[in-house]
Amino acid sequence: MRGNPEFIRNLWQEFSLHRLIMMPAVIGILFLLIYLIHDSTLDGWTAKWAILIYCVIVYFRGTRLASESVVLEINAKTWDTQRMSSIGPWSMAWAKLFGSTIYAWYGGLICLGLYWMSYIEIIPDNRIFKLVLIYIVCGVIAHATGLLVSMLAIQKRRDFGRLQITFYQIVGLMAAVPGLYILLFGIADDETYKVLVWYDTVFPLIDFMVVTLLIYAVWALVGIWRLMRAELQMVNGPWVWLLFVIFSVGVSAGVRFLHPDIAPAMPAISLKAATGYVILVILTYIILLSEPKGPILFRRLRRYVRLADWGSLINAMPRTIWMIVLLLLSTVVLLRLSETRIAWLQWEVNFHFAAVATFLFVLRDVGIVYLLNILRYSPRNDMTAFVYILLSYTVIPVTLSAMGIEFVTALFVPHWNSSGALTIGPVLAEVIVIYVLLWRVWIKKVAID
Amino acid sequence: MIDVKNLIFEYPTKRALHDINCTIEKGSITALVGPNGAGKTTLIRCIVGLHGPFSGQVFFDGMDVHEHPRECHRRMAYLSDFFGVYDQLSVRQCLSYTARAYDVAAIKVQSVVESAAERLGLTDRLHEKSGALSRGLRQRLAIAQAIVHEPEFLVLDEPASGLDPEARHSLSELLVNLRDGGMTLLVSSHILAELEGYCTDMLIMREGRIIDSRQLAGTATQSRRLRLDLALTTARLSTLLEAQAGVSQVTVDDMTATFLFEGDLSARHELLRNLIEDGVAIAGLSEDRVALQDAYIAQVHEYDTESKDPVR
Repeated sequence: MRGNPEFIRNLWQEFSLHRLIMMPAVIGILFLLIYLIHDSTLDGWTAKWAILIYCVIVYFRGTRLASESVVLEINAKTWDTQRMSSIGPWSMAWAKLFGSTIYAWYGGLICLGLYWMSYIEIIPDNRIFKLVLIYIVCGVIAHATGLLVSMLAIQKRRDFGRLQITFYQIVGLMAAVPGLYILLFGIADDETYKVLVWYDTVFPLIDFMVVTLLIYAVWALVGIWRLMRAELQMVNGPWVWLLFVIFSVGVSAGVRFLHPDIAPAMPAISLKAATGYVILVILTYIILLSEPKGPILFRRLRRYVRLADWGSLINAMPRTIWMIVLLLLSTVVLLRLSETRIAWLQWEVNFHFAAVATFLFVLRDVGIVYLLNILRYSPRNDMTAFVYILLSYTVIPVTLSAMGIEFVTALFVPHWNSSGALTIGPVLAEVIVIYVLLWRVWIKKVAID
Repeated sequence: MIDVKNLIFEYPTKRALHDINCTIEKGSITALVGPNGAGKTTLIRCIVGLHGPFSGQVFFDGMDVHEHPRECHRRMAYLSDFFGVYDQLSVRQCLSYTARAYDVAAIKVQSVVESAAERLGLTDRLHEKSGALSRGLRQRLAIAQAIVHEPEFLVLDEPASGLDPEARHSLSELLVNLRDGGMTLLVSSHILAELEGYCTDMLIMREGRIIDSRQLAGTATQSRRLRLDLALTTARLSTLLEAQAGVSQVTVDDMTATFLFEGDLSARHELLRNLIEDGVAIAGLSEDRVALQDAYIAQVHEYDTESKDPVR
């Protein structure tokens, strides 16, 4: 830490004598007021106020600071100097994450101290420790997610306003939801959710949360490190992303999300496979909409193929293509592991058709996003594609249903409880049309010298 | 020092650099000139490894900049035309941060900071917040940041924009001093007159292509173009010159001759003595600095004429 110039610079910028005194003074006065209003007693009420102030400082302000840490360097034209410095990607990643938010953490840690003081006579120490740890890790995840999303954005654009930064901040805050949930609803009062089943082993929910959040905080930091490498013109292979995908699928597949009383009568193996599959689909959409994918990238890939430069091809290939391959393999695995027909609540689902249809819908959406990106350049392409996809799964099928032409909705949403022809046929036709169009655009925009 | 080979760069909507090939010699100050949109900044950013090219390579001392960006960045520096400094930090903090960020040993930081500040005339301002500096002083601070780690190769994109005439003159002197200290420089500018004073080489860009690459004056290690002014015309001048040691590329006009000459001052004296002994009526001998403006205009005109030629 002593040797990291970027971290030291942040310390210089964030801590002046005035700011150093101001933060504890303001928090102290606020908390004293709360304490006096509450008949000079420390209990759960004062603890909740302490954590509320913590959330405002660390979650809201801190996530904002993390989200804008690189973006403001770009706006202030100092980013190139940093990119050309000798600071390595790992040093830069952690220095940005913790350096830009150091002042928020300064205030946050004071609040956590007050929180601990409030609960010290009421809750056992090890439990307070776990709760405090969750609040801290959620803060790190929120900051890391905000920074991560902003760094994904700088791969596509180099001008940022307040609106964009607010968007990254909101995404970061969404990652802090588990912590906020504890704040609003508590975790110990609800007996139903006291435990969690993971790969048929029962874990205390709070322990599972602490460990999972810690691991995901590390993953978020790894994500920032990888994006930082790309910014510093270093080549990233696909392996870290694939490892993250496998890890996420593996962890999620083992979790029994639903309480046993309301869980569907679904064979355990199918439930695990289906959960893993859903996570895979979600991650496919996340990477599809976040990674760069213009005609230049595809022209570059085409060049690597022509030069038989397979190493560069593997490194530069969009992660989405890898995800499609993984999804295809998973579909096959899902078909082999699961029963053909599964009763789920009041529905009976043909699981095999559902899996194939889901894969085809993802394939169709990938085609649409690529088509938009190759056809014409705009940094807003992905947002446009996201809106199209969202509409096609929500407003359009609902409208068609309301108009009484339900069968047409098979073009927009999977009909999992219908016949194979109606579940797979329409989306297969869509896939064919989209990919023929994509091929024609490819010839025009990519296959040129 | 820098070798650019078959460099192609594409923006999403257009190809910005078309198969660029050029060389920047060690110890030179190369002017990169061209109109707006010619691709100067894009080329510079590719050379310093901030833009990854579509194809082609840039070598820095034999090392591929895009394969080993970090190793190359330690030894080069780039000052963008739109530069930034940290407004909340003092001048000393800005320079210390840059020195540390470029791996200057902690024990040397203070001395390199003071040396850079002195070179740029910022010694009196070390404790001032950089946000409080005038535009010209901020520019000086930015240059000081660029040279604080003593890079071998310094790239400046429009370094004189916003500077007053006095500051421009100081900048010219600084660049020559840096070159004399062993640094190689690439300077892009619109103001050709300002480059003329110190550049040794020139690259002219237009529409994403290098349309001319020429030497303006010799570097310490290279041959120089000399101009011989005559008092009387000499019929055999071309033959006489070509017979001299170190002379090449002779161009003889009516009362003048220009040629490349490789040799030190005593060799130049020897050349003069030989010519006088051969009966050449010499009125003067000087370094021939091609007027940048003239060379640029002539080259651009030639390029435009050729590109409009329907036969071409």
